[in-house]
Amino acid sequence: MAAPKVAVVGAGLIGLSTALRVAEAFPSCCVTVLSEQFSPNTTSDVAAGMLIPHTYPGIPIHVQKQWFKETFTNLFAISNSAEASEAGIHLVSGWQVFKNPPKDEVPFWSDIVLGFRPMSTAELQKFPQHRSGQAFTTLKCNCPPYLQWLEKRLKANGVQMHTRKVADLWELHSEYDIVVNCTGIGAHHLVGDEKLFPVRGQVLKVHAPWVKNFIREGDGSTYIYPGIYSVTLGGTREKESWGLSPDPGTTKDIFDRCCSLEPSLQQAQDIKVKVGLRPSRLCVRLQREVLSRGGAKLLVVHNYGHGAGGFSVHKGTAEEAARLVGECIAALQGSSSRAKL
Amino acid sequence: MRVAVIGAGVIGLSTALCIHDRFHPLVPSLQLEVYVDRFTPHTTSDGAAGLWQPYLSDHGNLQETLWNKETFDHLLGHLGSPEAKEMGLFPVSGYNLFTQPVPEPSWKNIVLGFRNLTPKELELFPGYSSGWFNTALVLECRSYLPWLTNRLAQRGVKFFHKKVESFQEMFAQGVDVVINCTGVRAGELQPDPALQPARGQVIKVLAPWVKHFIITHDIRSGIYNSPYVIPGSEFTVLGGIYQQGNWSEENSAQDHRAIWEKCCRLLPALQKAKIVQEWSGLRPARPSVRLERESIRHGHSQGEVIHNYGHGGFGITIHWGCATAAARLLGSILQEKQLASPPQSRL
Repeated sequence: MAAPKVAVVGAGLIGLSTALRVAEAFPSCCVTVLSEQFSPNTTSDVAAGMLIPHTYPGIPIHVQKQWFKETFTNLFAISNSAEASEAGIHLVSGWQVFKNPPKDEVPFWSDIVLGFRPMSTAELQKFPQHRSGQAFTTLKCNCPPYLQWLEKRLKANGVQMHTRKVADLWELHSEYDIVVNCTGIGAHHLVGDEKLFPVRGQVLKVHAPWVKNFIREGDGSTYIYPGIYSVTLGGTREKESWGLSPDPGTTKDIFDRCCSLEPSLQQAQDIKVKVGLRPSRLCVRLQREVLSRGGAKLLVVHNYGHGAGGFSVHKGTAEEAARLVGECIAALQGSSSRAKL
Repeated sequence: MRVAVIGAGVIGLSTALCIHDRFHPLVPSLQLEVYVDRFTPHTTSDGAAGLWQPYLSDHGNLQETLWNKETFDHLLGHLGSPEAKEMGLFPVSGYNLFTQPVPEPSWKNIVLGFRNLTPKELELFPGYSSGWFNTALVLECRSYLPWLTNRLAQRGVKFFHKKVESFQEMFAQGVDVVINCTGVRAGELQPDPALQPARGQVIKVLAPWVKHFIITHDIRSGIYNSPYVIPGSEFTVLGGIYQQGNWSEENSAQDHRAIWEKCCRLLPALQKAKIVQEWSGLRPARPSVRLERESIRHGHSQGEVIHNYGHGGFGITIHWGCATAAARLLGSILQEKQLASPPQSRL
């Protein structure tokens, strides 16, 4: 049969990293990325891109750990190479602080990040309202640079990218054999997934280049993440809220909470406010589906619903999605050889 | 009572501020003046990256370790204040790397979160077999010196742009106490064979993705002759030159190449960094800091000099401890003078 034509719908972190993995794993395939938005206008561009996993209630911990480990290892190698600045990946150290002792003494990912340990009494003095904390070093994946670097690698792999709004996956059935659905929050309407819901996050991106360490409230509600060109201050977690316009009251609240953790932020300049809708789900939807109408079929692989944890697991889920694409290809080849009989 | 500070690097200005804050309320007649040959940004202090970190070993010089600690704690106390940014002060974490095991330093309990590196962390630095991680502070003098200068000016301290040729010159003008903070050129005021320049060169680059300091050590080549990378608020400083006895303040192409190649090998991402500035300076190296009083004959009387120089490559690290020590020495002088001279009005 002719080389399978694969369309990846969505050009955020998940779409681009999945497309790259598919193109690398199946060089004979023709891979195209279709998306309504590209960087810097995706949900991923709003995120700080910190590799600190979110725990999915519906996925076994050992699987989440494996995904995180694959992602961390992959990005660690890039951060240590000459490509690091172009890819926007760097190490960053900091602290996670708790007003009340955390439920789990030690998170499942503590042995994957670097140098994880409890904070000393002297370190905690910087946080008088907090009673305990953990120090570690992790990676930050800065967007837009990382997404634009992925786009560059995709082009080098012969992957085409087109701006296109897909209203219905079926509309692709005549042009493509396999569709990989990486539409993030868009999947709620695109495939009618009621289990997928937005968790609205507002963040401030500020100029405060003297901030070199991250600081994070243990429950994830307030955070300060220093990036290449700005420091991301956050945040909010508003379930079922679809509004994309920044709220000024929220801006002030985020700023105040962050200044209380890091007073020098009072001197921050050039404050930009952004909003993103985390595509949240009890578990990431990573599964195959066959759409058929009349005699025609379209093989679909879903890879969406990463919520707050996309950056931390994206390589792992891209790997799994590519594996599912492999199954689709095998199915196509199987049915095509059957058709020859 | 006229007190003249000579020198406006980190030592001169901090000593002046410490003295003013301590004594001005007690001795209203105290008149403080600062004599400056080179102002910020042209002092030795301005070229330094500003990382608080003493040398690996204090060679049993406990006094210097105490001054280092006093400085760190003083700066730590300023971290949460609104002044911190204006001072050029911020925390930074990072790595010290070794090719062989090294005893723990005197400052391990002064910095925050000091620990050994894990094997996975060492994978980042091929060729280095052990190392430390800790959180320390950066104090950028291109911000700190103007901050100190502003505070002194606000308090009415007078600055004179003038190269002082001798202590006698000051005493002849009516200065009672000279605070000698002249750094590497102290020998011009009074020969000191123990004081030597230790030339350094740095390359400042735009590399805002660098969030950690990395200091490598080569026991054979000695302190600061091994590459280091220190992130600043705007630029990242690359260095690794320490040339004892070299008085040249010109940038050397050979040193540039050495710094660049070694730092890029250490951190491959630096290859893409844009070079913004190159600078050379002379660390005022001495086996120990000269911090002591000296009485100098002046006609029929004595002039008092408090020496505070010879801070090598750790001036920023030790400056506040030395400033308070110099202030204490001035305190003794003030006490003696009050005891020694009756008020003129009795005549």
